[in-house]
Amino acid sequence: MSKKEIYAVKGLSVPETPASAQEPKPWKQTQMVGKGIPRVDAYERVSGTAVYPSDVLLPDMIYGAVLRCPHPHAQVKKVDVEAASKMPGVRAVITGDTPEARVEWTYSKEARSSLFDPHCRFEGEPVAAVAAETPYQAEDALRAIRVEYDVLPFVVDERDALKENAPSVHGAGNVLKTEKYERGQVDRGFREADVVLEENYRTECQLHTPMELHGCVAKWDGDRLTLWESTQGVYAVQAEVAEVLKLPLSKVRVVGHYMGGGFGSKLKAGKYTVIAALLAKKSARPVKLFLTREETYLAVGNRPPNNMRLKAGVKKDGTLTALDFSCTGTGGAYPSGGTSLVDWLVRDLYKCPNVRTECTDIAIHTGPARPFRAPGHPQGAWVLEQMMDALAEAIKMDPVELRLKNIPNFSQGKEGNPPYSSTGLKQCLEEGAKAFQWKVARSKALAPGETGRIKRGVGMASCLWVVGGGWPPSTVILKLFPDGSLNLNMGASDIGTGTKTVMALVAAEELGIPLGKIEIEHADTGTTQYATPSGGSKTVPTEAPTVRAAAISVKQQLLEMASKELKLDAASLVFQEGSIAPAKDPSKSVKITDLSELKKRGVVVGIGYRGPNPENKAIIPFAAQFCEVEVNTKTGEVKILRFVSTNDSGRVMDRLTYDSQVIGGITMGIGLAMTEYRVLDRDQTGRMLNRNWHDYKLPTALDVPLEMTSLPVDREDSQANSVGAKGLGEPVTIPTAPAIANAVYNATGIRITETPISPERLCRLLAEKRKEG
Amino acid sequence: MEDSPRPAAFILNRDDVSTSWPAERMLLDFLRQERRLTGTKEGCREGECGACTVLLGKLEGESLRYRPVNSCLLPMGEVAGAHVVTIEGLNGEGLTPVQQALVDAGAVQCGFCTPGIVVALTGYFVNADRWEAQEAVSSLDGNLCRCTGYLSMKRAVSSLCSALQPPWKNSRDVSPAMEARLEGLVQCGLLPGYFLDIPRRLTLLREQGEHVLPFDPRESTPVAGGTDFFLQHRADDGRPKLFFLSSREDLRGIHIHDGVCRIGAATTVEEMVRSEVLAAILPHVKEHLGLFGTTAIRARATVGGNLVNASPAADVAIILLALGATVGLAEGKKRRQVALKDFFKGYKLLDKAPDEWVEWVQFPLPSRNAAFHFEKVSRRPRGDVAGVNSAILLEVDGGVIRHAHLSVGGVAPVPFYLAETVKFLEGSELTLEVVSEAAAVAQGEISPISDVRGSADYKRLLLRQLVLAHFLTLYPSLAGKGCLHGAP
Ligand SMILES: Cc1cc2nc3c(=O)[nH]c(=O)nc-3n(C[C@H](O)[C@H](O)[C@H](O)COP(=O)(O)OP(=O)(O)OC[C@H]3O[C@@H](n4cnc5c(N)ncnc54)[C@H](O)[C@@H]3O)c2cc1C
Ligand code: FES
Ligand code: FES
Repeated sequence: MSKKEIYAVKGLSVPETPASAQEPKPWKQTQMVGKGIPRVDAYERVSGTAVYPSDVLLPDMIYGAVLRCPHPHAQVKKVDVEAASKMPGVRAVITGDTPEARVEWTYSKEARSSLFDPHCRFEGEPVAAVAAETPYQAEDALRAIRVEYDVLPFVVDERDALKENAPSVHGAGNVLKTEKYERGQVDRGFREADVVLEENYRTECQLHTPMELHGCVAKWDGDRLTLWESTQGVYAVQAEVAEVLKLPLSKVRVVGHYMGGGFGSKLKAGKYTVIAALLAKKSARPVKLFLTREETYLAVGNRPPNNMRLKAGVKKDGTLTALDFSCTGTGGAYPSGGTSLVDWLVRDLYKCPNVRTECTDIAIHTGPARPFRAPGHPQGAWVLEQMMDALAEAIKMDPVELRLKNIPNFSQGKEGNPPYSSTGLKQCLEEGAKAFQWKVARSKALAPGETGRIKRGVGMASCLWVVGGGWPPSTVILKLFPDGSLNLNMGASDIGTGTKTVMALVAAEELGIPLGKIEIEHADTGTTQYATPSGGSKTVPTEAPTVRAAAISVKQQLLEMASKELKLDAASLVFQEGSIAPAKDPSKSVKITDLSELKKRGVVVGIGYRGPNPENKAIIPFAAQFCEVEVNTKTGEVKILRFVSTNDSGRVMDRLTYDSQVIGGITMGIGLAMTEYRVLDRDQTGRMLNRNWHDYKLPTALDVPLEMTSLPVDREDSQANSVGAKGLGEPVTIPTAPAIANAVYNATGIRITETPISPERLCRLLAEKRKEG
Repeated sequence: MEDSPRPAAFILNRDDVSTSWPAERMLLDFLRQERRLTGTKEGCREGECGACTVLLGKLEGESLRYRPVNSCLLPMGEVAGAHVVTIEGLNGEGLTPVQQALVDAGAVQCGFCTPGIVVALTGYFVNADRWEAQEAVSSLDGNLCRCTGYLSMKRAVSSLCSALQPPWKNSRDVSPAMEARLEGLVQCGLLPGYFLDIPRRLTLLREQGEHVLPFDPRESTPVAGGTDFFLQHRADDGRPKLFFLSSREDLRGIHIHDGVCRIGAATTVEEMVRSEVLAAILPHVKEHLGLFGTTAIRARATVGGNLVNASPAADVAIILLALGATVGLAEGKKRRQVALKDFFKGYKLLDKAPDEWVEWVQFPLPSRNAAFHFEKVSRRPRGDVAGVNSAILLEVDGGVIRHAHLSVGGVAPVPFYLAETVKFLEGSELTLEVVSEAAAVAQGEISPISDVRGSADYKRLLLRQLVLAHFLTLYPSLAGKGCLHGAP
């Protein structure tokens, strides 16, 4: 479709309009949805005119900064702000002693804390904050604050935290909780197996590091607080800030039109949000408070490190007989899901009657975790998918074959074993293998006689993501103006995934209105409708059906208007090319823009609500990824040559944003596999050693292969919701790391059970192997 | 600052600007806070993400050169007399071809990295004589994107490179004159029309001399590219004033004279990469130094800065050590020379008085039958400081090593010259046994420590592998002549 057409489509035919209270039918042929249409807000983003929260500049605005505890564990004895308060340009200083700042803060329901908690349980806990005329003055003022700490013993590695005499994080032992799950008879399952394998694994702590820093601009108008926050969910921030500051929800307006990435780390408000509000109140000035990159490494979440063990039994024919999984992990100093969902794939991905899992969440003195793109899943996949590879080898079966043998059509892990609304795992595996030329590539890599310094290998892995269907609530309002243009009003944030574009496409599809006539208001608690944060791969399946419902309401009202005007029963009317006409006599049409009642009213408002999901159905996205690598056996360097990803996320809503998710997810997975890991000074200081992009390395354009293919299994899931789409943003990153590890194994015969697959680790393992060999 | 400096005059996008913002403060802050140009983003303030990329256009003689630079590390003192181009300065009525290609390819997600990418890519097209997709992608080595996975950007780049031809003639052999180049770029829509008048306006600025900042070198801290300096120092923390070495034309350039090659201390890594003089001596210098930092960092980082900062894994230092280089130092009127291997005395400890400056570094031209090689292993293949790096110069005659230099970084407190190993190598026959033994001798000389870039054991192992790699790369036939102990 050429650009002209996209922006100037005239009077498209629209889908059938259901009578009110009737469910809409699935779209048959779509005109807008499913194509590769550039973003509706592309101009703003590509020209730098989009105003991100960190770009907001208000008249009279000043700058905030936070002083953070430099120790992993310390008690604040005294904070002396005397000198700082008198420094040039300083307008406000707050500490735990400031009465207004004595507010409760909930890292998690289980362990309460306060905004400036004198008991600092991790490096990076706020101790004081200032606001000054310039960022430089704010920084100078921070340096002038004198803090007396009682430095306390710490433990920053969960593997040390359970040892006897380990310093305690919350007064008792460091085990926060242990969760157990069991089905079938695991021991019998192992007895039935022909092959039983067992292995230990570990994944390192990964950090979100979205490009835009965390923070906000806070401004008071009387008793009303407005926050421009870089967030995935304006309503979530509103709720949290209102609760902490004891304000009515209506008095907290959160705006977050553009935002530069979050990946789960911006689902809620941060302490910085409240601190900015307090500084703004105290100084009676708008305050901008954005963290430094270094602060974001310490204080705004991470993907927990996990230590895992899996024992698996398989029959010669590929039937899985038992899986026994255990893991420990840590969400840091406050309970924040150190092991949550890590065992989910073991429970649910493959057919297996006998499964046991045990997960122990441990507290240590590091910054609390926050959900990170597919929480728990990449860790679990690292284990399960490498194990599947090893099992396949042990029974001399192709790894794809082994997976194909074990595809369930219902959820074994969920209560009541609901059937999947759709499962495309088989297609993912088959179509992916075909596109990758798996068989050929594998036999080439396996060919004997490879003696050079460079070795090649291929590997694959598959996955599902625990929830892909979205859910209520959500409200969307569409306003159709008499000139035929449309305003789409929703609370959801577009975190870069293309939410605005996809929702505009849904409205365009349903109403036949060209994209160029659709304008979007979103992510503003003051002016747009309630939505839950954009995360969990649920934004499309939650919001798109809601938009569709709102559009249908608009159409129903238009039919009513036309029915009055034409003096015909509404049920006998249909839409055609921007007009409404009797189905039987198209010549008697009335143009929508000519409807006199529309002109009189000035607007038609369609309200859409997100209805409930189908009962007793599991709506789950699936994926498989294939990759080829080259290993330098001298230096241990791994070069990733190509990737193929096949995804079943139901209907493809827009091909460009879809592919972008897939490739971006793979790249993040490459990061986890190869270069991203937190380094803590475990013994000496307990501090983080690589708290910047200089020492914590993300993949660049030169580290990812040119050959990356996204291959959607484009099957609309009509049981899931009215648009047929399932979630996508998270499954895309789950199987990447184990696929690479399997390829490295294929190339070298070395199983890398711990991330990262660094030259260092591989070089050492290669040397060990040479010694043995 | 106690006395207000003379305002710095420069061109910011379309506008003439004169400001008395302190010379030590960063351009990024000036743009975002003072000028409210928020298209230039802040991601890290440490030269790692490229969200803050702007083009810095400077007159060099009669020609005008634009370089992509990280405005988070660019002090205001460096913009005087220059043309600073931000994303706002590229925007025109419609989208530029670069912007349009990114939009069409879906290369924009959250969009926070996007302005920096538009500027960096535009910088590539402005600079390159020929437009090639692979090179254009390489020019994004310093732009992080956490969303897209880069593939869509690469697609945008290849569609651009196939749709656009440099409109200037002779693009095969000579680079076009400045006017022709600007005209061509404007004609393609890559640059807005106002660029055509920039050379004249910059010349005018130069003639008015407004951009010369009145600093007294003796009372100032020298800053070259600032790519180390501004990571280590807050911009205006009361240090003696900064003196920007880039204003000292005499400290730049690469020349051969009397059998030595001399490189001015303020010569940038990019200038080394592009130097034909150097390429004639070291045919692979482009590849080797291509492993240094990012495009924007290479445009600023200097030889002198690399030596004086003396990071144990400094790439330029390691290369120069293996070339047998000598450093030229100056203090007032005094001049002296010191062998580079003696210049590094201990961790960040130099044979250099506090007020002494590095003026140049020079090395004797390697003989005809000499061979040079450089290896670098880091956690991320590009744009990362080395875990271990190493360089070698070998002169072999009749199967015997006549002359050798061997250096290694990351395994000692300083960029390290492997003197014992060199002694062992010189006069030995070129065999695998000798190489293997040399690697063992080297182990005795080094003292690696464990850090974020790797454990001490790993660095030892790497050094061994790099020594082997040197010889196998330079003399591939060695591999056939017997088994290297420990090699696969
Ligand atoms: C993102 C990034 C990536 C990097 N990657 C690499 C890499 O791959 N390899 C590598 O080796 N380095 C790397 N570096 C480090 C840095 O770029 C180099 O060390 C560079 O050569 C320093 O040069 P400069 O001109 O920027 O030094 P500056 O920061 O200007 O100066 C460094 C120090 O030297 C002093 N100084 C400078 N010139 C002189 C002189 N002529 N006489 C006396 N003193 C002087 C200054 O006062 C200062 O103390 C990287 C840095 C960054 C930010
Ligand atoms: S802000 Fe990241 S490179 Fe400048
Ligand atoms: S698009 Fe989000 S960082 Fe590049």
